[in-house]
Amino acid sequence: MFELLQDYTVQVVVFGSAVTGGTSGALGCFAYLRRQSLIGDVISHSSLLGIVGFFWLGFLIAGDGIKSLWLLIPGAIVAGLAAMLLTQWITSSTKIKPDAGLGVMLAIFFGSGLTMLRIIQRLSTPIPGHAGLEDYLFGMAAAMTRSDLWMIGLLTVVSFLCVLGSWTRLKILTFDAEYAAGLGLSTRLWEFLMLGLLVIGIVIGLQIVGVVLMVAMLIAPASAARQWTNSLGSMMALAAVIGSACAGAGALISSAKSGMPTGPVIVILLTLVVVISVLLSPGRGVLMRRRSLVH
Amino acid sequence: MFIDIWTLAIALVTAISCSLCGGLLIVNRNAMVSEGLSHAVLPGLAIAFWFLRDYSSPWLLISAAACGLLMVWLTEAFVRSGVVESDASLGIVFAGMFSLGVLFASNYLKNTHFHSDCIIEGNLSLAVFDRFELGTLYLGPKPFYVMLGILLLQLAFITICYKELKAMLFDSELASRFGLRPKLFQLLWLSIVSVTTVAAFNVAGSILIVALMIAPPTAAYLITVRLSSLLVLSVVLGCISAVAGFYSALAMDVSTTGPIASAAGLVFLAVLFFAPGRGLLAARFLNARQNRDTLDCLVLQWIQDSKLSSSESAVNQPGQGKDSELSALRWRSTVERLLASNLITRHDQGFSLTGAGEAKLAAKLADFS
Amino acid sequence: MESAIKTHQLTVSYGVNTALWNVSAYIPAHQVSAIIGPNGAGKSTLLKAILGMVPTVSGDIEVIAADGKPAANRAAAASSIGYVPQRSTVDWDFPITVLDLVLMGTYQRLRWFQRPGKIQREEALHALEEVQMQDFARRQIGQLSGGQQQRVFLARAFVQNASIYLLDEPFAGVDAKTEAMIVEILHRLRDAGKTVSLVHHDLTTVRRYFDHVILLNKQLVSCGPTESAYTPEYVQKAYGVEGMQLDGSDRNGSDGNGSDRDPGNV
Repeated sequence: MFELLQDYTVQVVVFGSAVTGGTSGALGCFAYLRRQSLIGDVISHSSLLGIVGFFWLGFLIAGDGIKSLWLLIPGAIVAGLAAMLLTQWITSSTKIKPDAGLGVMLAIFFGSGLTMLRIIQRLSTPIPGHAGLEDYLFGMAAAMTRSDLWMIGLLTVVSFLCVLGSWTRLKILTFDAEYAAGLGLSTRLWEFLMLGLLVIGIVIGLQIVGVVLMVAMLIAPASAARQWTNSLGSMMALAAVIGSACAGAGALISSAKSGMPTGPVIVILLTLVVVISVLLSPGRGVLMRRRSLVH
Repeated sequence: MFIDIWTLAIALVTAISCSLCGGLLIVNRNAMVSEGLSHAVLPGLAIAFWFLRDYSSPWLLISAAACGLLMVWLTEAFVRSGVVESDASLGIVFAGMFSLGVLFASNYLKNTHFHSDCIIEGNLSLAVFDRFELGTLYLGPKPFYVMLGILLLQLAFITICYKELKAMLFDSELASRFGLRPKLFQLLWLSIVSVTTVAAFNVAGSILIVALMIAPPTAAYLITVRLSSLLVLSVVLGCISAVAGFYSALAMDVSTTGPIASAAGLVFLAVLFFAPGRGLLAARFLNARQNRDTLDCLVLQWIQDSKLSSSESAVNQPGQGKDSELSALRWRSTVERLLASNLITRHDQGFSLTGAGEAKLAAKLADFS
Repeated sequence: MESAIKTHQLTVSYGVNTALWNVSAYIPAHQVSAIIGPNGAGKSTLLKAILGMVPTVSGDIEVIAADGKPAANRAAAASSIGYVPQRSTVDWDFPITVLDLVLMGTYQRLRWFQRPGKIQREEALHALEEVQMQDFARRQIGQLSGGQQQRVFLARAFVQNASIYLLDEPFAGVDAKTEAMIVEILHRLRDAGKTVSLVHHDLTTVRRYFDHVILLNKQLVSCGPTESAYTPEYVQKAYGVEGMQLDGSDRNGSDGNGSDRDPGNV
């Protein structure tokens, strides 16, 4: 495994995964605290349509199959935002409950994304590189290139600056949207920024974890971190560390051993961390509380 | 052609049983449980298959359904511990279980049905070749009969326990006070949902299960609120989606799963826009009418309040403040409308309410108390 | 009468349901006033409309800022109002401490990238002392009792340094001792020249607590000083019930002070 780390491609992959995991984990705190975990699941599934759609568009325009994140991530962002805005519109203008609205959007966007993927794969003159799109279902960290790394870096820096710059606003809005509106904050604008951050936290990890399991990479670090701290700032920092460590380790294991798709490996590591945190954290941990009851 | 008909038949039975399940999940505000279940059953399927190496063994069904119940139980355990948000626990539990299943399958079940496409999309076209024979008599594909059996089980359960189910869904606290055992029925019901999910997994894959369990019932919910008609309607809409999706898949020459899911989505969108009463267009129309009505009554009220004031201009300028929401234009058009419908009359000192106008305003005000 | 907030022909409706109908009322400056009415009378909606949180069908809202002039826009109005929402709107398991929550009151004054500093921290601690919660500053908010949570909310409104305070049911789920303490704080605020208005439920305490009453049942029933606006006739009109017990003073004829009843009716 040590030799593996000296391999340049593996270095790129592990480093990229770690950065991605950190960003997703930190941004996932907002989603977790706002009880939007399943929204994350729907956004990540929906983004498949954008990925496949932009790949196709790229082919129509450039005449070649482009799998660069610089093309596919904007696609994912567009589709994820569209799915979410549609859901909000439907649930606010009809009596459909949020859970059902989300489920329907998942069915529509993921269903059509999948159909489109299959159509592309069956084209009589195949688009070069279409096979790699399949990897977006369960993630393939090994496919990461250096230019992808730049894209990940850009998203990380942008979201980091956003969070830092509007930290106080985001905190109020997450804690109590009603109070924020009472302070005269434009809720629509800030809600949109929140949604934007959520979408970034999701699309950044799609290449590594895949659309099906991305929700865990977003939510699990936050759920684990929540058990160890009572401050939002340290919760986000801890979530970033957990996400980063699990994603890096997962990518390494996945490149070391065949038959280990990156997404599931990372998710299992994350789930373990959550279970340990829920059982053992001081103060909140289930086992710790039991013990303090006995004494 | 013969095979196509059987494929369609399987798709239809699957659509019907999924829509039925979904109808009850929607009412319970648990729509996303179907997303969780449709992923979490995978490890149960994979492990049972690894032991038995037989796709059609009933043990696959049992172990996977147990896995589904395990997911429900684990999610509830997380929530009960009080330290993890409920929707986050669902997300983590199902993703974790699904990952286990995928890893297990990709390491120990290479070269079998268990690879990523099948997990998500199922394999309807293969399912048809799983022959069900009695002696030498060919009766059709086995999955059809499995799904049919499950459908009958569901129907029996729903008809026999309709009262208990309804009580559990709408007010489980009241139900338990009436001695209707809502916990028990919830467990029974979730077991059936779980079994349905597993059986549908082979043919439909996780995406189609979610689509069929959520889209048709949600669409039906826009048309009716009665539980019985909601169930019937979701079944009808589910069937329409299955047929439409199936034929478009044939036309595009792709596997049936994606198209049926998209069709379910499109059927939902069509209902969303055009449903009478609660659809978007109807709601918009209703909304406009309500707004107009509110405005009418409000102007009636102002005219009544100011009937002592003598000049038209006093009435003409309601809300002199700078951000008055009611612009002069809307004020004028409302007055014209009221005049035209004989609710107010114009005289040289301004306006006054007619008998009908007074009655309309009184009726509106009586609504308040 | 000098007013801090005036509404003119305010109408708010949610679809088919009218929440407020043609309400022209005022909240007097430098007084403690109550917004009273039965369930669903539009009390909270009135506060939200004043804060610009719900769309209105018609009507004007005028908020007089601290400098005595009408606020020019929504942001200016919001910065002169300290809003204390209902406790139940908040996720009490949220990972912040009591001090953090109080510091949120200062956020409005902070620019991009700015964090609350030492000055803000001292202000917040001072506000906590004001409500006698300084010993709890480091606690996570979920570990407080209902009354303590309400006091922390009050402290947060204090650091906002507003001229007007609007409170939505501050006594809900609060014990008698805390209620008495909150009332005392509110009266102290009034004496310092602030305007205080709250949504209130308990009819038995109205005369003791409030200078001014706005009685609502979707329509305005009465608005004025407690003696004239809070009479059995008006209360009956708002609640639609005969023989409402207003408070102890009805029986002995004297007004307000020195009631023998326990303040807590929770």
